[in-house]
Order: sequence, then structure tokens, then C-alpha cells
Amino acid sequence: MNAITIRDLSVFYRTPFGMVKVLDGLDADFEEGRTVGVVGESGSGKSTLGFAITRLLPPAGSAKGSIRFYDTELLSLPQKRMREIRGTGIFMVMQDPFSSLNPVKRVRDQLIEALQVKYERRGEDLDVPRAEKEALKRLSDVKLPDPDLMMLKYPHQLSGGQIQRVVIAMGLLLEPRVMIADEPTSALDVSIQAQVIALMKELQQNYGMTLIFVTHDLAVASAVSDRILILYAGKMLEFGDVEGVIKEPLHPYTQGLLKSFPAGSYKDHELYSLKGMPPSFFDLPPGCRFSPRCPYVFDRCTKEEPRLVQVNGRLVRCFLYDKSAEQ
Amino acid sequence: MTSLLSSEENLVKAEDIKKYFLAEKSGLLERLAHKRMSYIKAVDGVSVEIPKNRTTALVGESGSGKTTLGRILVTLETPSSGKIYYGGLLVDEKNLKEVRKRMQIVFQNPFESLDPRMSIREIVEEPLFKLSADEKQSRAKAALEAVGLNYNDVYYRKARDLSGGQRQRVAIARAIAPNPEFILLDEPTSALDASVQSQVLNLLVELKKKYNYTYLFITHNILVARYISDWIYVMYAGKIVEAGNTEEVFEKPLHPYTKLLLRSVPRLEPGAKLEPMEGEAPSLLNPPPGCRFSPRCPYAFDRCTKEEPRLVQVSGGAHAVACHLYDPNRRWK
Repeated sequence: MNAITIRDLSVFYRTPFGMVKVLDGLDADFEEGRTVGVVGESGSGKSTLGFAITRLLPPAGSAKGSIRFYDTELLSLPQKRMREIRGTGIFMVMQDPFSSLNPVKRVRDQLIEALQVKYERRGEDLDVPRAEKEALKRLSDVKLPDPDLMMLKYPHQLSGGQIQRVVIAMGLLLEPRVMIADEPTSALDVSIQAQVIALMKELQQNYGMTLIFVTHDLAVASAVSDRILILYAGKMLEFGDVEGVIKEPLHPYTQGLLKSFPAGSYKDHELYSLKGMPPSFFDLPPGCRFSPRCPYVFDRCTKEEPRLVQVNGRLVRCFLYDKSAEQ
Repeated sequence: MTSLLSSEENLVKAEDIKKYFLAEKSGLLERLAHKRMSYIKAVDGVSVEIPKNRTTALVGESGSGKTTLGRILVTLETPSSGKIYYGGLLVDEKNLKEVRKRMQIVFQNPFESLDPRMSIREIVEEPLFKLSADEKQSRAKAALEAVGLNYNDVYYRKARDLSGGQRQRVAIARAIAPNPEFILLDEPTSALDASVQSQVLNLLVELKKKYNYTYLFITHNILVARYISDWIYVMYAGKIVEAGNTEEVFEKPLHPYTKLLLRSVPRLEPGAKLEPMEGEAPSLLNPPPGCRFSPRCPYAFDRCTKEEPRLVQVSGGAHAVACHLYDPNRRWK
């Protein structure tokens, strides 16, 4: 069963220089209880995807197409109903940990507020001592030292890693069906990052939660995900099981990203690097958006937009694998 | 003093550097009451050697003091105590100006380090202010071309019109234009996209080969450090915990913290389990007694919480570690 089903999703932003389409015709299924790593560089539309699913796009943004959360169509849902889905249905961990908590409330009060929402939606009364116990347990689940003390602190007294774990603990208290984590570890040090990744994986398995993990780092994605979705300039270029994508990447962009990962020493080899840089949404190349940087580019790539084709159970958007006749 | 690590000629050498920042400003009343002041010990008694024409990496997590140490080594920051030698010469107030001419810096974030309203020409020519206009232009042109930018394309453009990768190239061009010997690279690739990061790393390697620069490369990414460096220093909570020849340190990491870093960095291996270690770096206001890593260390024993380990050479060569586990006398103490 799919927890999230996306069909022909396009997201537009109104800018002083005209409309830009930052996500273009995305089709993707997020299976229940699995983790999908959404990987892309800056400007690929990866964060926009999270905001579109939670309907938290900025006022200048608008989405077209269909996003289904189980059987509920989200894009046409009234705000009031959408608010009921946020939190307990879909929970989002934002990239910047410092802006995700209320700076003038203690951790305890914020966690209890979250629990209040959960119980209200279930039609139960909040029992404060029990809620406190529940909050304490989750704080120790996310491996925060001294949860008792942590409860009494204000966000500014915590480090980035600690806040991020408080937010994750809050997510767990709400027991969401789907958690979207937007670069939850990029503000953290590697040793803390490894803790958070291990924790999210463990919790996702224990609670059967569906996890959408948005990151710019293919290595981090490969450590958490079951499936990997590669975004480039608003288009999905590849989507498949993590093993396959990492060991046998099909799209030249995925191949390039993997090859340019630092390994070994400069004395032995030069790092592979893709030429050029990601395109601007104001100036997209004709045909395949990756064609100006692609080492295998041929005529058709610059004229016609490739469609998604299925190769060995994987989706890839590249003419190298599309044997259909040229139009 | 004999060299701790290398038999190579050192360009920069620092001895017992300490940098304490005042944790809170104290007012007149506090001072009259002789209130004890608290200090953040960002760098606490560190000695480093930076071999000439080589790349030395300084690796650590946030708050390890790596950036503060780097800034002290390029004289941007005055240490609270300790000595810095540049090319064998003790750096003091009198020769500071001369010494500074021989070093340059590339900062982490080119969106912040370059003035968005200045033209590329102004940015690259700025450090060449003593030269004639013609000379400035030819030097700036050579520098921009060395970093792979087309001079005519970018010369009159503003920094705000360029992408992150291009801006970082401009920052590098600005650094190499005055012909420095020593370049501090403070996380030069961490703000860049993955596909652009490798371009910049390759460029740095190429420039070093061509012009024989000495690099000090500060990074939190141990895999980047491994790729780029010949020598490596690993910092933790204001102290050097391990140092040595890069290959040796990676083939045989000794300090438990270095091992932790290597185990927790995600690599491109699906299903590979990361082995996180509990805990966080200690507060620098009030570091734990003895070894600063001891509260997180799985091998900690009595002595670790009482006595601070010194950085000592191991295996008779280019590798040193500050850990009681490797002290041959540990059993008798």
C-alpha cells in the first residue's frame, strides 16, 4: 500500500521575474513502512517536495496535480482538514533546527502540547502526569542525556543536535503515519549525524512509519533509505532500490554523483567531476535538463525531453535506455 | 627542537598555542568583587608543524577549535599564549606585516566572503593595491584563468551574478593573485553542491602542483581530508588527539576518537551499519579532567580521567597520538 501517491505534481513559484516551475510533472509512490531518500542538489526542488506534501508552500508557491495521503487527496483539502492531518498524519522535521521550536517555551511544555493534540484527535482527555512520562520516555528513546533536565530547558539552552532530537521525539510522540525529514542531519556533526540516522532507522522499523528523507548527500541517503529518488532541476531522473542505484546507477547524473564522491587520496587519482553546474530555473536547457553536463549526450537529448522508462525495476529518465523511436 | 612528525622542512610551526575567549563580559561591580572570570578554552596547548609545499589537513567537529587554530596560524587572531614560527622566523609585531604578505585565506562560504556588489575585477585586484594598473590587470587575469574562469566572461560581472562554485573559484583567484606561499583553506568545499565540490578539490590539487603552495586545509569531512592532504591533524575539544602522515593515520587510526569519526562517516555502501558512539563533545568552558574524550571513550580507564595524555610519537615515525592506551608505561603508573 502507498502512504503517499504523487501524480503529475508540478509546483510553481511566482517571482519578480516571472513564474518558475520548480517541480515538473513528478510521479512517485511512497510505500507504507519504507524509507525513500530524496536526493538532489540545491535548486533541485527537493525541499519543495516536502513543503508541497505538507501544504506548507510559501504564499508565492502553488501546486498542481495530485498528492494522495492514503485515500485522501491533499491538494484539494480544506485548510481545516489539512491541519488535522499535519502532526499526527504527516509530520515534518525542518532543516533548520533552531526555527522549529518555540523559543519562549520549555521543552516539556512543547512536548505536552503535541500530546494534547494527539489525544484531542483521538477524543481522549490529556492526563498530564501520564503525558509527562510518555514525553520522558521518548526523550530517552532519542538518546538525549538526562531527559529530566532536558524537559526543563528552553531551546536556546540546547545544541543543534539536541534540538533536532527534541523535534524527532516530538514527531514520535505524535506517532505520525508519514515523517518527512528535510536535511535533518546536515546541521549536525558526523558523530551526532550517525546517532540520528541510526535512531530514525530504528524507530521507523519499530513503528512501521513511512519516512521521506530529503538530503543533498547521496552517502547519507544510502545509509537510511530503502529506495532512492534522484531529483535534478525539478525533474525526477532516477528512482529505485538503494542497492541498485548505488551499485549500478543508470542515469549519467547519478553515475557522476557517485563517482565524484571523495575516496582515496589525490596521489592515486583525480576525482571525477561533472562539468558545469545545475541550471537555473529561469534558463532551462531544451530537451533533457542534464544534457549540457552529460558525457554521453547525443542529438536527441537536446531536442526532445526524455520520458521515464522502466529498466530492471527501476525508473530512469534518459534516452540511453529509451529505445522508442524518435518522434 | 626536533620535528615531531616529519623530516620535511616546515613552513609554519606553532608551539603550545592557547586561545582563551572570555565567556562573559564582566562589569565594574564584578571586577571590584573579584569575581572569577570564566574562559572558553577554544585551543588549549596545541603544537603543529606545517610542512612546506604540502597539504596539511586539520580535521574536527564543530567546537573542536580547528577554525580558531587556523586563524591563529595565519595571524588573523592573536593567541593568548604560544609562539608561531614562519619559515623559521618567530612571528612578532615587528615582522607581522611582512609575514602576512606571504599568506592568504579562502573562506567557507563564498556567499558571505565576497561582496555581492563588487565586480570580480575589484575583488581579485583588491589585494594587489600596490601594483600599477597594468600589472594588476595582468596578475588578475592570470589568476582567474588559473582557476578555470574565462577572464572576459566574468571580469566586469558582480559577485552576486555568479553561482556558488564560480564564486569559490573567484575567492581562490583572489587568494593566489598576490603570489602567496601559504594558503589557509577553511572548509572551502562544504558550502558547495556535491557535483561542484569535486571540481574545486581537483582545482586545488592542480594549483598546488603548479605553484608549490603550502595548504592548511580545515574540514569536518574526514574523507575530503583524506583525499586532499599529505599530513593530518585531528582535533577534539581544543586539543590535537592524533597527527601524522595521512596514509598512515587512515590505514592505522589509533585514537578512539579518530576511529569513531571514521566509523560514523556515511559511505556509499547501502545497508552498511553506521556505528554511532554515544554522547557529545564536552563544553569548552568546563572540560572534563584528564583526557577530554574520556567521558565518551569505550576504553577509558582510571588514568584517563586523572591525567591529561600528551601527544607522543608512535611506531617510531610519522604518527603521533595523545592517548594513554599507547603509553608503554601505562601498566606501571
